[in-house]
Amino acid sequence: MDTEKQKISGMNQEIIAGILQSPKFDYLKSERFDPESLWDRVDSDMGLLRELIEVFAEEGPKMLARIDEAISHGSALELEKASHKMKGSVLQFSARKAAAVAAELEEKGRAGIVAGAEPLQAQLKQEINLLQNSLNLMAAEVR
Amino acid sequence: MPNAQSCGVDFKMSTLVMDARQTALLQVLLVEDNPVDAKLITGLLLRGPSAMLKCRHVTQLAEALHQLEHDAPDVVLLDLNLEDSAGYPTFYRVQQAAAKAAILVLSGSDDEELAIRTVREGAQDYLVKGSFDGRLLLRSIRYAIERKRSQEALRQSQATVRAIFENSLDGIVIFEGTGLCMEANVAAAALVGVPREELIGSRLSDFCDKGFEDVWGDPSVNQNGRGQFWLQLKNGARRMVDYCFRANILPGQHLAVLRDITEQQDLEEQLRQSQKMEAVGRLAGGVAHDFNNILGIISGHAELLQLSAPNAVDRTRAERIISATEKAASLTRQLLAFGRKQVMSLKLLNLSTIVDGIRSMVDCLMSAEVQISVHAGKNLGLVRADQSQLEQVIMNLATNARQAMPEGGNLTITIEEFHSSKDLADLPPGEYVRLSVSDTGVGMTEEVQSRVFEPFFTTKKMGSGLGLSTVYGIMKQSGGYVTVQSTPEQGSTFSVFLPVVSGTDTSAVSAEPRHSTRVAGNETILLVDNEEDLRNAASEYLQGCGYKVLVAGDGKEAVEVSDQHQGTISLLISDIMMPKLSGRGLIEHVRKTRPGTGVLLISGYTDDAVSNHGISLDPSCFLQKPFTFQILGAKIRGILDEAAIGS
Repeated sequence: MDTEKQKISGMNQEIIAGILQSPKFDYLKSERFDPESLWDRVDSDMGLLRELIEVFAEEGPKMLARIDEAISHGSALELEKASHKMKGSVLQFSARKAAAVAAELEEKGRAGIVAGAEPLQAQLKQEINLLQNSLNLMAAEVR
Repeated sequence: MPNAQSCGVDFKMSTLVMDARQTALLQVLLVEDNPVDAKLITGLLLRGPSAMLKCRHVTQLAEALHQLEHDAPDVVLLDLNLEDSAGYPTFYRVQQAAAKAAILVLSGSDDEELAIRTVREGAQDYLVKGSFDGRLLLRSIRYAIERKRSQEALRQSQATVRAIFENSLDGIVIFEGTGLCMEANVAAAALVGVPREELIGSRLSDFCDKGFEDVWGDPSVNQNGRGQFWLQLKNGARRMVDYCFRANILPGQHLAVLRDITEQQDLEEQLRQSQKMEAVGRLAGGVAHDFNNILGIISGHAELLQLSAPNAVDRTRAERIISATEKAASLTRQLLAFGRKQVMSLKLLNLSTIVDGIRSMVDCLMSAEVQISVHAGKNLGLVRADQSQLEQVIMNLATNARQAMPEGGNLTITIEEFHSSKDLADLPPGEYVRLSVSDTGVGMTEEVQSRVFEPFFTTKKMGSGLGLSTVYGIMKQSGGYVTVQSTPEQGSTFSVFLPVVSGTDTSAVSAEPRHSTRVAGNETILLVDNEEDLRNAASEYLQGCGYKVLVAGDGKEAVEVSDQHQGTISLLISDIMMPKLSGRGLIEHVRKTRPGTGVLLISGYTDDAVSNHGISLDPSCFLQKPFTFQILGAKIRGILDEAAIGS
């Protein structure tokens, strides 16, 4: 039994040490963004998270630009495609609000209605900006 | 492949236990145009446990299809919405190109209906982006692969079962508890004689004799069964079916396999009949052989009596004894013919010529009320047979037809070529000449037909029951076959089939030469027969004809007589089967010591028996018992004269 107790004791110490070493993202959690969920998704792998953030930093603006262009050209199909892609990306980052706005834009595109998309377009840009900030803060943890 | 990325790595998985076999060298094709998604997925796949995972990433459908032409990944992770394709068409194209790979659809849409439809269309799983982590992704991949393997095994199994079902020569039927056919294959429909669509939805009992249900039983009680039943087809034909069934192969669904054994039954019946006839033939032949020896003695002594009778009354009595023995010998000849033990003088014959030759006899045989017609094909092939036997066959069949038409009718004799392509019990494939004798008489029931060739079976008050059995025996002996078709009150047709002898010239057929009737001579003859009465009578007769006769009771004694005789022995007349030394041994000795001596064998058996005893002899040097001394005398004279010409 002593051995068993020692095992349990040792295990608890490991877990406690792990928790103490894990980054805390509680302060970033909001209705918009769930950092814990993202952290779980990358299997608590900061390296992978940073790689993802880098890719998004590069690809996010391109996706937004594509949505802008679709709206300016009145191309519903292109709006649907670009919004769908943006939605998929932000879903992976657990950015609920941004994903919801992208989904609305995608739905508009699918419905063939580009007119009146500008407010959503602006809202999406704002959400992406906020997401980028949050992601940068996450990436800055435990450097 | 500008956008293709390949990465392979070893990694440890501490939380997800994966079988090494399942994950070893796992090939993954990721089809994803979103760089973030692609980075996340490859990142998740390339971290972790012990297995090798090779992941190739492409961003467009065209690239994916190109890749699938060269690689056979275990799993395809597929985003349906790509730059060059969107929605289900993406899935169908990939599914078509990667028939053996599991497909795991990745979607940004958390749509349950869409997910179900995707899986129903053939995807092994559906994952919503943002809802899975590394563990879930790996588990999904593993399950998708397993599911695909199971589905593939099931598909192959179903394809195998379907192929067996559709190509089986046996009928296969799935039916429910009420007996209603739910599924049936083409063979089952053909067996029942209806289109498959008609059989499905019907009951087998609809096509069977009454009492079928009793035979089939209740599947809820009898789990397995085997038996036979009769199908009654719409066209009136009946088919004997051998079946086996297994109840509840699926709940409430029962399997029956049906095999048409009608022909097999017919062939078995023919074989049984043939074996019975064979046995009866052997018995009849054996009896006839013994009887012939006795007849020979009676006939021989009667001939001697006739020759030495002091007055006309005694000569007449002797004549009547001879006449009676000839009639008795005729009966035994028929028995021997049935038993296929009659001596044959085989020649190439044209059946049409044979019929022409005995046409006048057939005419005499018929009453005035019978109309006779003969139809003979042109350029008929030749057959190898004994002419007198064939004449007997025709006469017997004609006699039978006449007796079947007491009130008159039509007798038709047809001779034609016949090609047998089907392997019947006694008629192998090949070319035949068929001689059919048809009458419009009383016909026969099936029962009578089945016994009609049995010796002594007759439906006539005065019939011997040997006429048709003789036909049967002669045909068997000649390598031919005889069939009967008959309908009560309508008539009968007997057909005999004889194989055509290929490569023969029909013009070469000649008439049979007549026998010499001269019997006297003065040569020395060694006569060997263990039947003392017959030996003595024959000896007395031959001496009366002027011959010098040496006699012996068996082969050994004959050797001694031959060796001790100083003069010439022109002819050895010997029975074949004798005690002490057989005919073969005797002949070998005589041929060695007296090469100029002729040989005439006599036996109650056939020339087959001669060859079976290892004796090589011209068939003309054989005489079958019983024979009159006059025939014996003529035969002796013929052999001796021929030898004289030869020397």
